[in-house]
Parts: sequence; C-alpha cells; structure tokens
Amino acid sequence: MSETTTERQEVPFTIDGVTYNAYKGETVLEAALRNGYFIPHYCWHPSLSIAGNCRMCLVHTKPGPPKPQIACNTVVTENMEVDGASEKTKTAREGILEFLLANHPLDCPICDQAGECDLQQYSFDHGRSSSKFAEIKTQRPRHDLGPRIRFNGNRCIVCTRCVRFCHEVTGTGELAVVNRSDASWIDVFPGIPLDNPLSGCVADLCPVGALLDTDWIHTTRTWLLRGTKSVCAGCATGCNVNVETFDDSVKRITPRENQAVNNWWMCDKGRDKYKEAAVESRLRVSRKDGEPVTHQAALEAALELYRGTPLGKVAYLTTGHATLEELHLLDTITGGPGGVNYAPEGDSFTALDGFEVSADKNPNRAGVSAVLGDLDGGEAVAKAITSGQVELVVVCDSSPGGAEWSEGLVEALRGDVPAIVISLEDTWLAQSKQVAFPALHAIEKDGSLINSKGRVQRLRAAVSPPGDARGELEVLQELGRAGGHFPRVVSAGGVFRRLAAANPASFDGITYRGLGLVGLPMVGAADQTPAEECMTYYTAGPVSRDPSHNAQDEQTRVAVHRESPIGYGTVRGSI
Amino acid sequence: MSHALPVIGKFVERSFSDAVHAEIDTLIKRYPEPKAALLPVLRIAEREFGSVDHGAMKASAEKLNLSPAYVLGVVTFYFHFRRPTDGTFVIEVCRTLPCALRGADAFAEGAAKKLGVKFGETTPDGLFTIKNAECLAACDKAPVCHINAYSWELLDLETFSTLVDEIRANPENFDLTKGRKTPFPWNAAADPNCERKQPEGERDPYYMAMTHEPVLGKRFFNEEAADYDAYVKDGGYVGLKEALKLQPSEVIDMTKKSGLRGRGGAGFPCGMKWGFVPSVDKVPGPRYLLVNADESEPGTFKDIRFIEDDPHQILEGAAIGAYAIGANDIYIYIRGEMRLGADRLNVAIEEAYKKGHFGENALGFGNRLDCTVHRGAGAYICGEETGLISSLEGKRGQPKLKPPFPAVEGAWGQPTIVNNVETLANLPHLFREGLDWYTALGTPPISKEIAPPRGRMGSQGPKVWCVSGHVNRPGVYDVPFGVSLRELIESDKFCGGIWGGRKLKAIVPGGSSMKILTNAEVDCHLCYDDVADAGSSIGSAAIFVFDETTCMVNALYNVLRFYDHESCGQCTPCREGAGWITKLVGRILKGQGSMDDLDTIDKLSDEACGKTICVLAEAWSWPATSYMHKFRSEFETYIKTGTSPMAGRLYEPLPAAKA
Repeated sequence: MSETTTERQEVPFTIDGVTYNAYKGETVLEAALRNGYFIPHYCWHPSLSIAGNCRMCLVHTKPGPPKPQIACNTVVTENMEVDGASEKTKTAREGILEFLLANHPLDCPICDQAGECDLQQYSFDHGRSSSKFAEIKTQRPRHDLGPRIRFNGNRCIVCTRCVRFCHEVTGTGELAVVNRSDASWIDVFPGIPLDNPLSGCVADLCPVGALLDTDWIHTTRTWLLRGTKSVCAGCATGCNVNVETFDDSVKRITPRENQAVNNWWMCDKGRDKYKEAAVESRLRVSRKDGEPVTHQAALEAALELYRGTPLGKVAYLTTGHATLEELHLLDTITGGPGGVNYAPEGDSFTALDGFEVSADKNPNRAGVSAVLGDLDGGEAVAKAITSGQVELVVVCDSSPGGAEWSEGLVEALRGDVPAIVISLEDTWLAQSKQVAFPALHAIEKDGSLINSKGRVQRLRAAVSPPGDARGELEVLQELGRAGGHFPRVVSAGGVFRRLAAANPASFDGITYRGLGLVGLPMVGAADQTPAEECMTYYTAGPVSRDPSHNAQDEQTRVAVHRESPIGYGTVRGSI
Repeated sequence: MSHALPVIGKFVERSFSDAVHAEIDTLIKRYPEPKAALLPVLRIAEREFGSVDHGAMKASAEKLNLSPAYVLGVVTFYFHFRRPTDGTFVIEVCRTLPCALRGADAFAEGAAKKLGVKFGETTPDGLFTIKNAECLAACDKAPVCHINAYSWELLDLETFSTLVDEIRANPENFDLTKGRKTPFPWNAAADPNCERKQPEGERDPYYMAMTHEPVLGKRFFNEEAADYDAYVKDGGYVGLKEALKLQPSEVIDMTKKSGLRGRGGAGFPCGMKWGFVPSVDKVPGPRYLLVNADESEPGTFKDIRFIEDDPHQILEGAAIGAYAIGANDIYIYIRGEMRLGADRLNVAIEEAYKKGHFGENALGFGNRLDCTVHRGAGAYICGEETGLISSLEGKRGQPKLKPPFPAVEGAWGQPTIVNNVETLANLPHLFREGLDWYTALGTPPISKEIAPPRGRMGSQGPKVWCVSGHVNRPGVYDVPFGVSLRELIESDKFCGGIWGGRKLKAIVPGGSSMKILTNAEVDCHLCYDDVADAGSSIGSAAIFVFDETTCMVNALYNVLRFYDHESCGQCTPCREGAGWITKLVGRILKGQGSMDDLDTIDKLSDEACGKTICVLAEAWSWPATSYMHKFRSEFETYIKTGTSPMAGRLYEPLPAAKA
C-alpha cells in the first residue's frame, strides 16, 4: 500500500558492495526491489503475507548464518552485507530452479503464460541450461476452479499466492492447498467454486501458467499483445487497466497498479467489459431518418439541423458514462436545459485491503457534477419539450445497453421534436430520430473520467471504432465549430485544456498530459494522493509482466518486439 | 506418487446435534481461539459421522467459522482421519525400515492376502480396510499393526489370521486394547557381580551401564505403576515440590547447569532454550509449554513408554517446565496413532487436576495451570517444533519460518517452548535428586582448553535408548550416556548381539534421519560428542541394526519413501527433492540406474540442505549420501548388474523360523 510522506528512518546496507538505504523494518527483498536491485522471487507479493516457501530469493548475508537466507523474510540491519551475485548465491538459485523444473511439464509451446512467465524468465536469467532429472514426472490434476479460472496442476509451483489472496485480500477463502509432498495441488471445496468478484486476479498473481483466465486462454501469444494503458469504465472505482489487443481486437484486459484507486486488482466484470463493444444490438452505422448512411451524409444532416436552431432552444441529454470532454462540449454547444441518466445501482464488493467494486455503475458521475452541476434525470428537458421551448435535443448516450429514460421524457421524445442522437446501443431513439451517430465504447475512445474518490483519470483508445464512425468527441466538435463556439476540431487533450480553463475550481493545475498513467486528484477531492505514490516498485502481478524487467539480453527482447506496422509489440503508448 | 483425496461418492449434508455442539463449545474454551480446536472437532465429527467426509468438513467449518476449503486443505494434509470408504476396522501395517528389518513386508503382503484385498482397499463385507502406515513407534515388537489406532504387536501371519477371525466373529464387542506386548524380560536390575570396578575419580561408562538402576524407565511395562498413588509412592511429585521452592529463574539456571539437552532429536540445551523466553515486560501475554508427544522418527519408541506406562512423569516434568517459563497452559500434542496413549494421558491429567496440580489455583500458587491433550492426525512433520505449533493452531502442520523463533514468537504469536516427552521426564529426577546426582550420570563437559578445538559439551543425565532391527533383544534400555554402542548391541546384558549369530553390517544410531555407521565405526561411546565425531548423531536415540544379509540400497529406498511421504510440500527443494531422490533410488533398485545417479544424490543433497524452511531436507539427504558413500559398492553392483548379492533383502528369516 502506498505510504504517506512521513519520514521513515533509513538503514544503510549493501548489496554486492553497493550501498542502498532501506527503511527501518523493511526486508532485504523489499529494500532491494524498491532500490531497483532485482532479486528473483515467486511467493512474495507486497499485498500478501510472507510465505517464504518458494526459496527463490535466497541470498547470503553478513551477519548471517553460513547457509543462505530468504530475502523476503530477512529484515535489513544496519550495514548488513547482502550477497546477491556471488557464485554460491547463483548456485543456490540454480538449484532451486532445477527443483522447480523437475516435475514441471515441458508445456511452454502450449502454455499461455509463455512470454510473461516468471519460471521462463528466471530460467533464462538464473537457471542452468540442462537438468539431471531422469525420472517420471509427478502428475497432478487439471480442472476448472471456477467459472473463470482453470487450474493446471502440473505447472503449479505451490507458491500459495492464490490461496493467500483468497484469504487475505478478498476474505472469501475458496482455495486451499490439498495433500502434501509433491502431490500437493490447489483445489476448492466441492460445490463452492472460486467465484468471488476478484477471481480473475489469481490468474494475474500466478507466476506460472497454473492458473489461467478461461476467457483468454488459447487466443493469443502474450508477445503479440499490444497493451494500451487505460481505465475501466464499468463502475465509479475506475480501475487502472491494460487493454491488450492484437490485430485491432481486444484479447484481454488486465489490471495495472494504482495504489490510490485499485491497488493491483480489478473485478471480473471489468475484464469482460470489452465484449460490450461487440454486441449485436450496437449501433454501428450512422443513420439518417432511420436509414443507414455514411458518416458524412449524417453529419451534413446534423449540421443543418443544428445551424437552423437558436442556441437557447437546444437541449441535451447525457449519461453517467460520458467523458469529461463530451460533457464539456455538450455544455458549450447547447443553451437549453440538460438531463442526465444514471445507470441503476449494482453489486458492490469491498475487499479486506480496501479495494472496492463500486455499487455505482457510472464511471463518471463525479464528472457530471463537476462539469454540469446538478442535473435531473430529464424532467426539465421533458417539460421544455412539451412547452415548445426546445426545438432540438442532442442525445449523447454511450451507456452499454442504452439509457432507461423516465416515462415522461420518453413520451416527450416520442413526439416530433428533432434530435441528434449519438448512441452506443441501437436504441429506438437512434432508429426513429433524424440523425444518429454511433457512440464509441470506452475501449475505443480517448477522454477522461472522475472516479468516486475524485481522481481524474484517462481513457486511451485501444481499438478502432466500427465502420466509419468518428465518435462523440468529433461529432460534437463539428457541431460546435459550425455554431462558431471554437475554430477547430481538436483532440481530447485539446478539449480538456478548454475544460480545465473553464472550471478552475475543479481542475486548476491539472493538465491532460499530467494525467499520465495514474491520473490526478481533482481540486478539493478528499483523497489527494499524488501521482508519485500511486505506483510502487511492484507494478506487475507476475514480475515478468513489468517490461523493464524483461530479458536482460537486449538483443533478444528487441528482435521480437521491433516496431511493426500492424502494431505488434509489448506495452506501448506513452502519453 | 499419488495420494487420493477423500472419495466423495455423494455429498451428504451433515450437522452436529445439540449435545455435540455443547461438547465442542466446552472444547473450544480450552484454546485461545476457535480455529485451534479444528483437529479435535474433526475427531468428534469422525466419531459422530463415521468418517471425515465432505459433509463432516463442512459442518466443522461452519462451527468454527472457517471456510470449507480451508478445512479441506487441513484434512487432506493428515492421513489418519477415517475416510468414507474405510471399513469398520482400519488395519494399518507399519512397513518403515525398522519394522521391515524384522519382516514387516512379507507380513503385510500376507495380511492383505488373508483379507483378500489390495492395500488401501476395504473388504467387500465392509469390515476391514488394510493400509500401509509409517512408523508406529513399536519397532522392537515388529511386525506390528494398528487396528483402529490400537496397537497389535509381535504378530506373524498365523496370529494375525486368528485375530482377524476373532474380530469377524465378534465385531461389536472385540476388545482392541489387548494387543500390546512386552517383548523380552526387560532391563533386568543392576548386576551386583559386575566385574569391572569403578576406578577412583574416573567415570567408567561400562561400569555405570552395568550397575545402573533404571531411572526414567522404572515403571515401563508396569501397568499398575501409572496410577497416581503408586507414582507418588515411588517418589513422584517430589521434584515438582522442590522446583517450586525455587524462583522460576533459578529453575532455568539449574536446568542450564544440569546440561539437559533436548531428547527429541536436536539435542539443544533445554535450559538455554527456556532462557530465550523474553520477560513479560518485553513481550506481554500468555506463554505456552507444548509437550512434543508426536514420536514419529522411525526407530523411536521411547516416548510411547512414558505416555502409556508412566504419564505422571511427563505431567510432573511439564508442570516444572511451565513454572519455569511462566506458562499457564500446557498442550500435549500427541500423534493421532497413539490412541491408547491419549486415553492414558487423559486419565492421568484428570487425576492431576483432582490433586490440585492443574486447575485455577494450581500447585497452591494462585496461578492457573491447564493441561490439554491435543491429538494429531498422522503427520511426521508435526514433530518439528514449528510444525507442531502450526498443527496445534488448527492449520496444516507446516513448519514456520524461523526467525522469529518460537521462544519469542510461537503459538498464536506468543512465547512458546516445545519440549520432548523424555526431556520433560528428566526434570522430576533432576529436581528431586539434585544437580550433583544428575551431572554424575553420563559424560561430563570438557573445556576447549583441555579438548581443543571446541571442547566437549558433555551428555548428562539419565537416558533411554531404543534398539531395533537385527538384534536378539530389541527394546528400550535405560542406560546412562557413555556406554559404548558396540557394548549396547553385543553385551548379553543388553541386546545380546546380532541375531542368528550373524555379523553386524551397519547401525543407524539416531533415527532414520541420521547418517549410518559401518561396523568399523561402531566402537564409539553413546554420547553426543562421540557419535558426532564418528560422523553421525544421537538424534532421537533410535538405534537400528543391520546384519550382513541386508541390502543397503533397499534400506535407503525404504527410508526415502518415508520422507517423500511425510514432506509437508511447502518449500521447493524438499517437496521436489524428496520425490526426486526417492524415484532415483527406486530406479536403481529396479536395475535402471546409471553411475551419474550417484553423483546426482550428492548434488541434490547440496542443493537442498540449508535452503529449506525446516531440516526435513537434511533428514533425507543425510541417509542418502551416507548410505551411498559407505556402501557404494552395493549401489554400483545394482547399477551394473541390476541386482546385488543381497538382492533387496531387508529381512532374512532365522534358520529356526524357516524350519
């Protein structure tokens, strides 16, 4: 967890002769990792208790016994000398790796963890190239532990990260190690599957290919995935995620670390969110009077409608899913009343470490309040429509499944009031009104959202929109340009600049670039955790997912991950 | 190797009756937290529902507010719970090395044939299940089996056959407690005609051995002597009174001066260990004294004698220990297989409560002292002190990381001392007879000036030794330290030499974890220093003897199978290494070995020793390397020819038996 910036007593110590500073009470492993010295390990994770069973982090220490100590359980004492690179330490590591590989199947060609597997990584970095094992390998079962997780017993190194996660983080306790000796494996109680809201996280934590997300396995090789660092738009928590795509389609979504938002976790529903972008009922083409047309044709019709309406008679309707930029644009280009529809409350879950799946399934409710103030659910708009004060409604509805507007509003809208509809779902509005444009799903657009703690975070587009859709940001800006509100269509960052300038009470000092990977707290938010404290030295689940730790051999890494026109490569996308 | 999970069949929902709920509630009060009562609650479930099936696990989990998966993990760790497929009578036959040396393998095969089933299976009439078991602490009375955890000893196929038929004829009322045997006229009194005279000022261990009156073992095999009044008549509870006259720190001091070392296997000085318990201002809260009655080291059967025949000696010692460290709770962790022992201990504890040794105002001191027997469930690793603590806490019996050490942070995070049964049994004698008497027994410490470079720690106090294997009189011997190992084996006063007039081939002096000594190395004296100098260790004082017909490769395989089965599986080197080395030696035994395999044994030992959480890795690598190095020619013969002159034999019947 992140530490606030109180002073902690520093304890100097050396690793391989180089002096570092540990905090008082830190273990050798924590201090080393924090200082950028990597000690290989499996069972340790900063969010979990110390198990000390993998024995991978063995180092020799002085003062210390002649035998090596595990770094994860050895507290740093003043002027301790840690030997992490001598022959005897290296030999100890080689031995441990050989033991781990003794009964491990030669599954790399068919194992989905390949490319992000700590066993592969450390074998390459610290292992021997041959083994003296000449026996028949012990077999252990392969079964699904729950709807989302497949367990492959032969690959398991019994590090117990998954078991400890279920006891210490989610508190649900579905997993246990059964049997003993080399017949140990991970199992659930019959009838009680691994089914908590965070069950997918055990696959992230598993350093090897023993626990895999059934939604993702056998789809793509990890090194073909291109990661886009975005946030999840499933609820008001706004977990930081890595949307991993190949060939312009999402293969999986995994969490990124942000100690101010989601620690290292995300919920299972968030992992499935990309499927919303592919549902049958989505609006994929622009419509004019219900008929499919090109974007250009629809845009011309929309511009005509917009130009022909006085500003004060343009109302708008939006949802809790709209980004800050979209909200700001709606506010700018309309003069009449506005209404917002919030998705109904859903299931919530609070983990023992404070991670929360919010009951509020609107990713930007806080954003709506910040930019648009208090809005009702459309009653004002309905009244204005029926009293004839509104001659055009701009509907911006990117909520999955479509917003459920109130009865009165629906009745008012069913009349002949013209509307420009930008919609994710192919709703009755999109089919019956004059112009409709496809809205973009969260995985397809750039923009920013404010989560329940008042943190402003960035979405980044990971895949292309359907067909020739251009999305809300561009359509609204085209309207605004036509109305003379601003001279050009700019990127989301450009719109954010205008938004921040117009709302210093909330966004003073926040720039789009500054939102970076972990966002920034709004002015006045209760949680003011600065960006530097959101990411610890432990940014990944399995360590090998941290690209800075990949194969030490630059040649090998770069040869595979060279820039390619189709976008092959590992994590890309800086700002 | 596969270990089957409990067979489900159909999931049966189970719930405890109100009376059982009340019983469990009373039980939970004896522990600091409900989770610790898990093993006893599972035993109650086993009793109520006939086996620990998934329904029983779920009911227990709900009662103690644990997740069912957690309970599943704990249940599958242990091997002694009844499974749903078990018959009415579960017969467990020990086939570990000391028993195998006396014919347990052939006996077991014959027993299974008599029942008409394979190992692990139940007879069609649901009456008998036959299983392999690990060392049942009755190695001197092998072949031995347990029937529903009651010991049946000195069996052969005939007596076993009769036994099975008798049980079949009367399954409801058959008395299972009648199977214990006393093997030979045990430990005859001191020989007044001993030839050697004690030289002035010197200590002649042979003299001491021949003239020594049993101290610890005085009441062994004497069933009446376990009674409280008989114990007091014999001088019992005097040591406790003497200890209570001193301050706790003085008790610790005196124990340090006595040189008493742990008798469980590690030999760590007992007083020094007590001294590590921090003062109450440094670490507030309760202290715990845990009695390690989980005697599982193959070849060891001394603690069981205290437990079954002389429980008050243990209770008195535990009370002294609890007084010394300021503990209010004593937990006696007894292995699940020792059912009779647990019963006897409970009877003795009740007597002790009645007499005011335990209870709210124990010993007249105004402090509470409670004593609880906690039954294990079949795991050798629970004899390791932190494994014992884990098991007591209601977890899988996996050893904990050290540091922190139990004396500072042990059971439930509090200062805890774990002492072996025999170690505690020494204390009443120490405090009754005094330091001079105590330190006069055994071999004295010698400073490093006189015996460079390290001096000698000395081995003081009375001692009981277990001898099993190919000797004429296996058994428990109450003899002080210093007697020569060869004398113990070959003297007519003791084991009477190798049976059948055969030659001695090798001896394991301290339990199967210890390195083996060849015939040439057996002239050392039995004390910590000398045996260490000879290249092995006293360990748990479990001596087993191999005659010239024994195949060392198969002996090693037997030992390694034990450790492979008993490894807790927590840390990488031991979990993978134990299985690996067992398979390797098994492959050599099958004739598929290569010379590289012998190097591999050394390399595995290097890579695992010192890298693990506990010393089980040393426990399998010491035998592996020492048997391989000292009997290399036998291994090489197997590799080159696929067999050996001893051809896998562990037991060669004596000529008389053959006729």
